Amino acid sequence: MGLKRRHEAENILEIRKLRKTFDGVVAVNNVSLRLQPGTVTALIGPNGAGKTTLFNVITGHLKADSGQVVFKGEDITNLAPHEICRRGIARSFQIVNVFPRLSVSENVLAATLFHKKIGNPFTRNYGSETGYVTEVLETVGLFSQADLAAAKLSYGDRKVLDIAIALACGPELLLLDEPTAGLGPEESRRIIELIRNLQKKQRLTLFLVEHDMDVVFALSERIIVMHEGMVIAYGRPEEVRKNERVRQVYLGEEG
Amino acid sequence: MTETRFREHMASGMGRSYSLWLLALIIAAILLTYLFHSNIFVLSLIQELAVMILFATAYNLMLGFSGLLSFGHGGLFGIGAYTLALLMVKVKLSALWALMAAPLLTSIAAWGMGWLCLRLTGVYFAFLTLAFSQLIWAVIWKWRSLTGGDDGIIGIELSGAIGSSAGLFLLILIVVIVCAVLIKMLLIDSQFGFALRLIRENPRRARAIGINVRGYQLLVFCASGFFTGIAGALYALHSGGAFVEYASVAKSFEPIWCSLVGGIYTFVGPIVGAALMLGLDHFISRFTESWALFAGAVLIIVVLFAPEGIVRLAECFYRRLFRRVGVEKWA
Repeated sequence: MGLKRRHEAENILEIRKLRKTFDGVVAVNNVSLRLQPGTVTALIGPNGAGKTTLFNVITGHLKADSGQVVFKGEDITNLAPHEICRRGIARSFQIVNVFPRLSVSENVLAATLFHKKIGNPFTRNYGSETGYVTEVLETVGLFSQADLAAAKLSYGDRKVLDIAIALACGPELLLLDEPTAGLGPEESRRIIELIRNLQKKQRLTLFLVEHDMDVVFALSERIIVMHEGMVIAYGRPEEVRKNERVRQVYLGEEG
Repeated sequence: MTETRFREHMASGMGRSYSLWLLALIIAAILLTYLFHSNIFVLSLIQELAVMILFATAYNLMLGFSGLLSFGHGGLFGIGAYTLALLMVKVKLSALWALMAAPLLTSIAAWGMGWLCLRLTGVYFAFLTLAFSQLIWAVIWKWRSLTGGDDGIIGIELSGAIGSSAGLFLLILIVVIVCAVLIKMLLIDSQFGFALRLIRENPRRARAIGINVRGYQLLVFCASGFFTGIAGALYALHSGGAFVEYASVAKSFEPIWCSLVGGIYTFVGPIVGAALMLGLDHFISRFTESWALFAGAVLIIVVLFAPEGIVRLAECFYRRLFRRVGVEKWA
């Protein structure tokens, strides 16, 4: 019993036998996995493997058919997205998801204000949040563009802003859905640098879906491979690289 | 960029820059009252305008500031009017108590309506509210013993000095409406209004940063219903009765017209729209019966050529005019 408790406390996120189907098509099939606090874990797999679906179920955007999501020892399965955010899980989106007509600083301010339960919604004390918003913008390197409408940023900067919004929620666990998708090498490097900093300086636990293998091997301490809704491999990067089944899946895709 | 500019930027709310506009409008209305206080026709017109301003701004809390298209506000307006009429005529309550009860009951009705309709989004939400509005209308139409059916309820009378002076009644009306409009401005300018704006812009992202989307939408539905209830009740007081067309679908379209023509993304838009609607109604109907034809034409022209409404259009002209002479900031 005592041993089991300690074991649970070691994992910031534990997923047990999670299953999600869409009209009979199984997208996530009995997935179980664990994340240790302060680590970077990458989730990889061919298109349609169920990676984004898994993210959506964890963050409450989709309801699971069965199974459990346990965050810091608490069962958060099928809670509403805003409740999951308030417990300390924030995410960025595969397709840039910001508030386009609001300025960059308002985008970050929004997350700063609403990720916690606000006492009286009919007041406004934005001034007290200025310091924090500035800090987040400086961390991600968008401070010089604070006044621009989000829609006017370059695609790369909008990707960064999406991460900044998630970051402003003050999460313990940050889920990044393809943070470098659609970016050139220069911008990708900037995001990699940002993710490294977040993990080192803020001790965040990071869980990311990524297609670019260079990014995956540059960042992650653990890799989870999904294929057709199931986890087919889990381990350190060098172990996964050698895994026969993983090679088959990826070569099969390409060949 | 300096720290102070950053602060200034973050503090800029939506409605703040319009407070001057609004104040000017209110003062103009009060002045007009005193100028024409002997002319019953003008007094009555200004009373109607005051109610329409309240109704349209209440409605635009939803359409403009939350992105929720409701066709159900005619029904809510009717509930406000009938609550006041029933309480004053049948229960013999004083106008003050009836005026307090009407918005409360209307916001409870709005809560019920929102609770059911907000399960759906977009067009489905809009049509469900339309169905609700029809339901309220049908109940008022058919429940003769309570509502008087198509005869309506007549005989609402104000006692004392207010009852005998239309000018005094109008002043009280204006005070109530100014307070209601100011409260709405504060709502829009608060964190509550900010959350609504985020939901309107991107509900999915709003959810992911910790905003209870449905909770806020339900709240704004209630708030909108509350002020619609005041408008309905005041309208019943103004006309001395409650009639079934107050709850009709046509009534639902009045604030939509005002909001769209004036501009849904500005606070004063629906106010200007309300003035324009009543102006069209009263001046065009002097020449022709079909004033609605003109109202329709105006709506089409505005939607096609100035989709953000005539207030935004006026702003653009104003800016262009003043940039030439080197004045950048005017609001």
